[in-house]
Amino acid sequence: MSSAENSPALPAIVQTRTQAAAKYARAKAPIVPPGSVTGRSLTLVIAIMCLLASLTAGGVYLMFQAANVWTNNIASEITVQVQPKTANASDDTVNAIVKLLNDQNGIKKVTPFSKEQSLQLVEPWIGKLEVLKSFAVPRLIAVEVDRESPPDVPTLKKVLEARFPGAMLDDHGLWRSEIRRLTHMLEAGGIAIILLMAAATVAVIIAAARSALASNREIVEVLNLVGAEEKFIARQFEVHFLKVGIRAGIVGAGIAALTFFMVPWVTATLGGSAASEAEIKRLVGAGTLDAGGYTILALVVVAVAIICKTTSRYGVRRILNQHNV
Amino acid sequence: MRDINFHLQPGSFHFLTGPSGAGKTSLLRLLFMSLRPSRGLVYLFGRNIAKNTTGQRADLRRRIGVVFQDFRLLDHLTTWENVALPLRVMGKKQSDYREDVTELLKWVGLGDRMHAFPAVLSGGEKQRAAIARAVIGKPELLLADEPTGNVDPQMARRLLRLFIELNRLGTSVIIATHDYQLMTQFPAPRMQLENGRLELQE
Repeated sequence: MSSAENSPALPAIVQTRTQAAAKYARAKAPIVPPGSVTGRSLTLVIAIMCLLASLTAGGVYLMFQAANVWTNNIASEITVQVQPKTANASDDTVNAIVKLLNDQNGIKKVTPFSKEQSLQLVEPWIGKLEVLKSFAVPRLIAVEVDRESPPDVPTLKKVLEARFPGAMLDDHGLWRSEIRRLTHMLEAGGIAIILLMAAATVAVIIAAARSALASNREIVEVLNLVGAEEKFIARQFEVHFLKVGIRAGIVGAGIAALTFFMVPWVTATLGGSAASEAEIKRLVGAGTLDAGGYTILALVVVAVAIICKTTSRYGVRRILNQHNV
Repeated sequence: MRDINFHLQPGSFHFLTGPSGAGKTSLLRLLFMSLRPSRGLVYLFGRNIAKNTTGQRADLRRRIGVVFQDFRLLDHLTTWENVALPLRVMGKKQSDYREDVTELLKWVGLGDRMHAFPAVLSGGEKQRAAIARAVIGKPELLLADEPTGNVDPQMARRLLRLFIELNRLGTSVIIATHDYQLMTQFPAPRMQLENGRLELQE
């Protein structure tokens, strides 16, 4: 009798029974080792893509907000310009116009500019010259409109310009539509850039999936041999790509967030004078993102993770189908 | 191989033998759908495998256990994890098969090698791990390519007993071997492959 015949009863894999808990075996040992799927360079490329996409998205968002502020400010103001005939006559005309405007409904505030103030406006362009004082400078009246119940601007314009020859009313409509056109153009450009970067990311991931499958050929073969479905095999790779996507996305968007956060500090350091800082602020806003902006950056991370996951899944399944290993 | 025509009854036990290079491994690969016949038809479980989709092929493979001559263990998984792989692929929960895998490993003499990685296993140990992986899913068909080539006669008998026992429980078994000593231990029909032809010896 050999020991084979004396050996213990056959393993009970053929019987159903309760399974004791065991301390061995890792709960979820990766079937495909992570290092063989996604290298550091892939993470770097995706992080850079995410950084650029975040900067673009954040920039477009900032610009949109600034444009909104501008158009709102412009919309709530109209300007009346009075061409001078003689120095005194225009003073009277201005006063008469101010009186007329104050009587209108839907007008909050009327601020006539004095001759000195009008001169100050042209000072940056032609300098401070005594001789200017003798010039007939057009006079300006700033009118603040009540945005809740705005006046009938076209009628007002007609009446005003008929009654006071030389007076011109400007509701900045041209400016507003120009700004809107510009922001829409920039927005479309930003979206195009983001789409291009998404396409590049997809291409990079497909290439990476291909090389990951090639370097894990043996594993894929064994999985096929033990009856794994394509779905199962694809999932083994997908998990790693998802992790890379999340990691790279957070790094990229994080750096972008930090950049936006530091913008005021950078402009303060580089910009020098307080005046230029204030000017920049007036022009493009503070340059920092609000909660909405940071939400957009978070969305970029989510989008990158989703791109990584779905692209790798379909990439791997397509390659498996092609090769039919 | 040519003019080969045979039909295996469910629950049968066959040895497949013949000189090296006669095509034993190729025949097993044909049966396992990892090789396409250049001509001819292969039916598995009553289904023409040429018409299988990839999904159906995966389904069929789950009903088959294979022991490869070159073992095909995954180097980065422990012996235990390698053996449990078919069950994991089927989507079973680890808590449902822990004890089964452990007990089977003990039975094939790898009780103290469960945590070892294939790189540090001897040829015989790898072979036993490969056999354990092939039978853990209680396959309907077991294909074994030289399953006792790397073990001592005593272990070979023990493994044969495992195959016989599986066969008794309904698994059809084909063992490719040229170990005549092994074949004398169990009276099973032999399929002799020679010069590309198959001869059945009852």
